[in-house]
Amino acid sequence: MSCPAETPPPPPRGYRFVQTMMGPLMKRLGLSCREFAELASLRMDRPLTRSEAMRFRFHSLMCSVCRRLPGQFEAMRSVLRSCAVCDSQGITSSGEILDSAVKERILASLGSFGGTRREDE
Amino acid sequence: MTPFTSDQLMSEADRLFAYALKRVGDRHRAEDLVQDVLVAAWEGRESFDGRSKLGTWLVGIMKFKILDHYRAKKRTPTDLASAPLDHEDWGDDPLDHLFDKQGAWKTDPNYGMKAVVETPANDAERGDIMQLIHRCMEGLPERLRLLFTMREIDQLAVPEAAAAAGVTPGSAAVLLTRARHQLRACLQRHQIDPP
Repeated sequence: MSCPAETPPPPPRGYRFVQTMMGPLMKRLGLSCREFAELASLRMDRPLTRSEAMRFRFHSLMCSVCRRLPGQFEAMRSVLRSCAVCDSQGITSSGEILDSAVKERILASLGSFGGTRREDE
Repeated sequence: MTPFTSDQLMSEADRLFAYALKRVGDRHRAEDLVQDVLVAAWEGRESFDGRSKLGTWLVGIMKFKILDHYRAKKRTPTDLASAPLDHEDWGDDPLDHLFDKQGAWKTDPNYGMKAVVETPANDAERGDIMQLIHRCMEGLPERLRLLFTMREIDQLAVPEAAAAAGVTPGSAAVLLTRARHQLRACLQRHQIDPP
């Protein structure tokens, strides 16, 4: 993993050639890479309609550059969800901490609900 | 004997606070939420069976408290009361930067994404990617970040996440798409190594 941020290179030459030849037609048919990219995200939030699903499958079969995109979204989701309690474990903590006065207030309110530190032991 | 002490409970306060602050964006609201959660946990401590970690159990309670918080008065994240509710008004669409006018990619979408797509071998690698995703998420507008967090991390259904973030369910799908693409592109820029 390297930093700082870099700009990715352009797509492969073959892709650019095909897009030059077929791009306008694909766009007219609703089969552009942008539409595929939108559907790849949309299907994570709701089932695609029959028409959307057909366009999605068709594009996935014919475009090797886009084919891995759904996997990228799934992987992002998987990493995020596999670590759903990261916040609670401090892994993604912003470093913000609660004021000590607030902690005292909370501790006092716990005491009023039937316990103090000593009584707990 | 109680399953945990109040000291153990209080040791989770900072982490709960950071969790809540990320989702409500206001220190005072986050403090109140932490208090609500800790008091609720203390009152219901007999129901904690110890099968999950105390922190995990508390985060579960916090999720409900945050949802209640947004549902109660149809609140939206702080400082956003006057912000537009419709995706049309959100300005720059990140997809415009990724695709040309014909809808073709401007840059290779697979370059540099190997580390994300391949399952990280261990917790450390997973943690690295998590950290990077969270850094990238900080670049999202607040309401979009909340929507994305509720949907992708907290696993809420789209209508619930949309309600919490103060956007219509129809706009939520568009906004989630923008968020995913913006994050994907951010990850890609920061992880450049050949696929």
